[in-house]
Amino acid sequence: MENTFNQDVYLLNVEVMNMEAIIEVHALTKSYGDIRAVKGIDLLVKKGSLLAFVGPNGAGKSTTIHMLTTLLKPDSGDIIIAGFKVGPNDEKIKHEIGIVFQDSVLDDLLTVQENLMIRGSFYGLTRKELNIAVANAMTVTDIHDIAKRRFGKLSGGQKRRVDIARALIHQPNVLFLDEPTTGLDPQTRLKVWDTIEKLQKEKGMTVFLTTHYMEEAGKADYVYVIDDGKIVAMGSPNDLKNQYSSDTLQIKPLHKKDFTPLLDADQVPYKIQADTVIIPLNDVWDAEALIAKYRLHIVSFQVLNGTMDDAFVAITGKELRDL
Amino acid sequence: MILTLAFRHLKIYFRDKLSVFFSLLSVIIIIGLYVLFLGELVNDPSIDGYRTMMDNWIMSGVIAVGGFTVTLGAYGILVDDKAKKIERDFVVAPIKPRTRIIAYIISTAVIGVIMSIFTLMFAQIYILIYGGPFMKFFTLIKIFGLIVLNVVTASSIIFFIILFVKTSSSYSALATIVGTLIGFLMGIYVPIGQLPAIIQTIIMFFPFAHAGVLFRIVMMEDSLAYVFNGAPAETLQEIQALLGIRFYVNGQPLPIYTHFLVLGGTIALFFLLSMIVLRFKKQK
Repeated sequence: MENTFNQDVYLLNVEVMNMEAIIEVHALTKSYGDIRAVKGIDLLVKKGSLLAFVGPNGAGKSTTIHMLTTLLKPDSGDIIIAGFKVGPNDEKIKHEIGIVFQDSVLDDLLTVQENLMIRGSFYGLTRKELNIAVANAMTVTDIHDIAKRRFGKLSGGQKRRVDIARALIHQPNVLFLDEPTTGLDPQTRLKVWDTIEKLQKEKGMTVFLTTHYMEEAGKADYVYVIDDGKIVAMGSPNDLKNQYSSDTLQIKPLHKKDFTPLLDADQVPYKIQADTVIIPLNDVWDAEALIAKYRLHIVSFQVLNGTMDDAFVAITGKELRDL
Repeated sequence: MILTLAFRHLKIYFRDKLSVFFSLLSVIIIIGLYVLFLGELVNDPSIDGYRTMMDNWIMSGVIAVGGFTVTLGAYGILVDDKAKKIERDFVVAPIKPRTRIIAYIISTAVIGVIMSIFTLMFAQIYILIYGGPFMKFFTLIKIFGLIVLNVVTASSIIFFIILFVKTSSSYSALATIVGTLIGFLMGIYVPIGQLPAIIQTIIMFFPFAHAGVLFRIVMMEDSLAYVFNGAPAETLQEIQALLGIRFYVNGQPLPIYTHFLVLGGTIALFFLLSMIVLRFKKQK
């Protein structure tokens, strides 16, 4: 087996010795035939935190989340959730976790309420407890007004909120969401995101989500970047931005043809995007000198902070648009 | 938990009006054909009570076929749950795999029985329209017993086959093939006695053909006795062989209990095979 020891994870381990980890994953692997989808992953998730798990398509995100949620059996490695080991303690873990799948798993032909009552009945609640649990889940996700409508007739955003309600009925400690906002319009995306943040902040729930949108990952407490079946970067969004992206000076030159030779001559690195010249900055104050030096050639300029998008591209070498 | 799950399956089945219609389609087609022209074709107006006898013959076949195709249609829920990955939501919940499987079997059996009873009502109306009598209460009880046996047999066979079906399209291909063949195998489109001897022998190896025989024995008992009252035993035997009311091996009719044995054995066999396949799948 590949040596999966990872210095960062070791340091992280030391760092979190004192904290309460609700998910611990060690040396997790999974292959499909010859294809090694997950090549030894270590994860630690702090109780009550919001963790974003990002990576390009085919990086092993879904495979990992399926192993964490007892859907897939790992080839090797350990997963401990809320003190229970995945595998021998699956039954216990199933009570601890709620999952929002990428594609909806509720029944189109049944009403929202019917769906929730049926799925809620899997958790061994009494009739009375179930009624209360379903009502609570509907309150948190704000779906009382669509309770009697058929699930199949709802809009994408409404469906998503019902999916989340489904995952909350049994009051899990950990909520997994696989691409919860993919395919939603920006406004709906924000609303769904509000619900997720509310769950974490107000209910103290641990949230583990995968996402395509780096701006969403930017709102997480901690980010893991997975690529080609391995963890390639981790840290708080600020850590990642500081480490993997730089602030930039964006200049709109008078004449691009005249301007770029000057930069070449001064050995200033730059990139060109349409009519804008982008100069990476080691220090944001470097911009001052550059602007002063080239002011005669500049029509307009702006200084921008590094983004999660930049960090992601730097880490994986892949543009987000390709995802 | 089993009942909630089974109830979910029932709700989904009956809310999808189109799929209810399609699982009854082969029944509707057969009845339609007989109403339009086959009914006249098989009738012999010169014989008193012949029409009623033949109507009972047709309808016993229809109920037998319907039990099978409707049960197959009901298993569409399981296939859909697999194909649409809804199954995952059951897997991540603390439900035992056994519970999940039993819930599907219960619900499909209930659907099969409910729809067979509907078919029986259709059948009674059809028979009444063409001048036949109401069925006796005791006959109805017997038919109900056969409906349950027929549906359970169908369910055990279909469940086994469905274990290998992963997509909705392969499922509908299967449903089409079964829907087409079953009418022949049960000897409805063409009376069994008119088929070549070799085909007749092959048909005897299909378990559902034996369900068809039992339905005919029960439903045609009175009308057969009426039409062939006082006729020589050979004539009766001839018509029974022709219409597939009894199976004959070397000129001797198979005792009735053999049909029950075949059906019971089929249920046991396919149940066992399914268990083996499920165990094997689990290990992977």
